[in-house]
Amino acid sequence: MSVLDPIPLRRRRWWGWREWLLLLGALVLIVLLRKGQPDYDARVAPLLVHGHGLDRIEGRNFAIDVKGFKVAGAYLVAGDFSHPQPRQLKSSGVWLSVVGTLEALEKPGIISARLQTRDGLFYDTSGSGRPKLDGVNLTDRFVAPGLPESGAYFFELPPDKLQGAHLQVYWGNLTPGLMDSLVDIDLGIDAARARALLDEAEPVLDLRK
Amino acid sequence: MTRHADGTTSQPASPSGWWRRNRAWLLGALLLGVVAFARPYQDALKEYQRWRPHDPVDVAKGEWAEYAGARWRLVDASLKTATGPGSAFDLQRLDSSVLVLRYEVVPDPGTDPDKLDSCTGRVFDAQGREWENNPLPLSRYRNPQRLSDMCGSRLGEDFKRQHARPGQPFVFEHLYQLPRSKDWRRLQAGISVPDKALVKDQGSYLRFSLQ
Repeated sequence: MSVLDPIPLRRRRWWGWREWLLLLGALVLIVLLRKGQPDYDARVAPLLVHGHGLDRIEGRNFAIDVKGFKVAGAYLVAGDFSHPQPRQLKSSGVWLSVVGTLEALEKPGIISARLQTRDGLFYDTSGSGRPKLDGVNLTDRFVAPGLPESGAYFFELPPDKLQGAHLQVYWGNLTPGLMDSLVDIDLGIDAARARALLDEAEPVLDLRK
Repeated sequence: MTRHADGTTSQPASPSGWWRRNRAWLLGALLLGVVAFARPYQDALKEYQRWRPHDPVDVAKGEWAEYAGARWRLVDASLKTATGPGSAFDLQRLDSSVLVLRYEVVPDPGTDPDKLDSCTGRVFDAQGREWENNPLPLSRYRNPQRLSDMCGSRLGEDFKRQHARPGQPFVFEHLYQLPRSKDWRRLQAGISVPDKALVKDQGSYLRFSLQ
């Protein structure tokens, strides 16, 4: 545009009400999008794989086949080298054993489990040495592809927490991996089933076999 | 915006003019943006590949291969089926057998044998399933010749560490627990050293065929 060109009579102001409106709209959009954005924890959260009842469920790199579960008041286990006589493992709540088979699909490692009760609390397994049953207790058991391991996870929990308990299974022996699968199995324990489990529970279950 | 000689201003004639005038800045910003994304991605990929190597160097059984500042060779592969309680392996599972892979490594002059100790081994089948060397159930096994699963040193008779010496062959053994039904001859064995200084080409590993 040269100096000699006629200057247009009506020029638009370069910043008018339309621009203010655009700016305001952009700000509102930014705030709304940022509020709708998932936070870091949600973005790297474990990926839930839902299962129900006694079934085989696959996660990334592992599978669990739940065969059954049982409640007991205490366990009777064989003694060890320092205490040869049989010992009773008592609990301030009840013992829940979940029997099943673990498979590693691609890589070897350890598969862990925990219980989530309906009020959101987590109960870890009681540990590989409680009860100390080699070849039965699945806690910290090494699983390799083609070599599935059968056994049981053992939990101690208050009797009123049985109802609505979910079994959660994940790869590794720490916490559920971020952005890794977390298999969540609803064991299907309603109020009647919980009562039946407690009624059927033996006060002392003999595990010496 | 253009300033005229009479002091008034006006919008430029067309928006495409602005893009043309600022093309150098735009190109620069684009290049910077690409570099800012690509460099951290490359670094992260290299770090990941240190532990998950994906670039195989194929080696036939008995052949020598150059890797991580040393020469490597798979001397022997054998399957042990007597693995139950009372055997040297003392495995609980009777449906598993133990694959023993014996390797020889000759460090180049100037290679620190301690750095070779970080080596890891694995065997894998055609479906990509993996088994790792000396897993937990085999942790109680002791080799009668005191061979270790570490590639650069082992514990000697007097519990003193014996190091691999440059130019001299050093023998080590990797053990794998496999399902008995598995045809081990069709497996492949891998050796990788996750050391930045020794392995220039991060992500590479040695892949030995077992037959």
